[in-house]
Amino acid sequence: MWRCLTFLCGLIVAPAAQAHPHVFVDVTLTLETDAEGRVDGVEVTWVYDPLFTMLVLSDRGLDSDADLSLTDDEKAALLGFDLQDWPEGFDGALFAYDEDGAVTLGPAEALSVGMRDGALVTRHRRPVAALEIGAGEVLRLEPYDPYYYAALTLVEMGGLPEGCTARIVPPDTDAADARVAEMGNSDDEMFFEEAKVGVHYAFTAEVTCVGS
Amino acid sequence: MRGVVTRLGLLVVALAIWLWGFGGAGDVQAWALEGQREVQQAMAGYLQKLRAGEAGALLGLWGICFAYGFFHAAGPGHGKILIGGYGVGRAVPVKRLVGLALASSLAQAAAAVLLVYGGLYALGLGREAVTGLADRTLAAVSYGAIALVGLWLVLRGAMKLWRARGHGHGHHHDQSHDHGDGVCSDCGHRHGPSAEEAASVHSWREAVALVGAVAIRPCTGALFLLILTWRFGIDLAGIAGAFIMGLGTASVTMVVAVAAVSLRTGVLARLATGGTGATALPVIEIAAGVLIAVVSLQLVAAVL
Repeated sequence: MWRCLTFLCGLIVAPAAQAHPHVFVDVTLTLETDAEGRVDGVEVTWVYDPLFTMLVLSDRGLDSDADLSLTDDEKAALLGFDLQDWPEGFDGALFAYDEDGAVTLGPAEALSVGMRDGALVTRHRRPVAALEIGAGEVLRLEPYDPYYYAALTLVEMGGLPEGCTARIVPPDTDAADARVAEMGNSDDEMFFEEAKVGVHYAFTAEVTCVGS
Repeated sequence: MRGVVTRLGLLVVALAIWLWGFGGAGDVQAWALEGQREVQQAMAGYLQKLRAGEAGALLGLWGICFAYGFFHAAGPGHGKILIGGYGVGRAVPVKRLVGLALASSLAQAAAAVLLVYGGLYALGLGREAVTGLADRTLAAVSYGAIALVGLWLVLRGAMKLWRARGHGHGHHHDQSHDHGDGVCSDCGHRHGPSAEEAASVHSWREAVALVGAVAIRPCTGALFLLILTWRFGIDLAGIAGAFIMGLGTASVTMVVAVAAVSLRTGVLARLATGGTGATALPVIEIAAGVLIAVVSLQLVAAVL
């Protein structure tokens, strides 16, 4: 009987603990380098799913002619809309780590807003204090929403400095699910700390260089 | 009948082993997530067509709404803990639990309609205020209410266990069967309301509690749909779509209801031969109640 009950617990608990996203975003990251080939910024492109695009536009009464394109005035009005009022810990849904730990990303500077195939596309830049990726070192970039309200998919990693290559590692959803289910099954304080599940579903870009 | 039910129960157990023992849950989750993404994209496409006045788009939108509800419920929560836990913990006819699963999904759709039209139209709130209300406040209230139902199961189970151990009143006429006629077999007269009458009052109250606890927190996807259709001036398409989405969600929770009841019946059929039913019943009820309460309290903490 207990075995049966345990399985049933698993059946019910594991799905319950999983958060679910409502917005889907394709992310492209492009590294920017200074004259010495050091990384000094990351350009972030977010492509929103068409349904969320409609919501954002209709919130602001834009695209009233329903042609899924924006006038220059409308673009100007929208610029930077997704760079304001970030909830605590959201941090622009981008996290970077090098050999010394977390890399500080500066405040976002809006670059552009546009439409592509019915999807809203925004670009912004996050400055970074000049950073050199030495031989054998790894710069890891993880675009994700900690709250998992938005599911971010890293589709492209560009702008690599001379001699560097990038590998995009998709999230290990089995491991993530196991981790989240474990959180749901434990009644310790950790669950409350780690209730932000987004990190477990994060794509990672690993940038490695041969050095100069 | 009992054999069929036992086999169904074993099937559920096998499914659970596959899901959580061999990484099946990850596959289901990935499939549900990919499905939701595609469905969300298709929904935007049909809305755009409706906006442009294409007649055939309405059926397409409604079909997609059903799929959205299904994928959404196949992933996380959505009353599955409550319906599943309740079905395991309490002796409830499978038809009634299936009905409750359907009712709670439709009530959830009604809550979404009320929230959007009350919030946007009557109160003039913005989209973020309305969805924020659902995602935070109402989600917390809903999980809190679900936790209370879990605690209620724990309390009932504990009281039964207490009585089965020989405490409480002198003769134990209601410990082994829930469907007595109220006539005490020891003394031959009625002690007030029969077990059945009491059970029906309880089950009505519990039915309302169950449906209400799930319905308080409307599905964000339904809110998105209702907000957009309201703004595009195609209100009825959206309201019908929200209820169809509820049917899609119900298609999953109704299966959970059948699975929960058959698992309980299967477990009890095994126990009946061992003669441990009198204590096992309340223990199962307590375990199911604790499970519901713990999970939903954690979810409260997660959204606060």
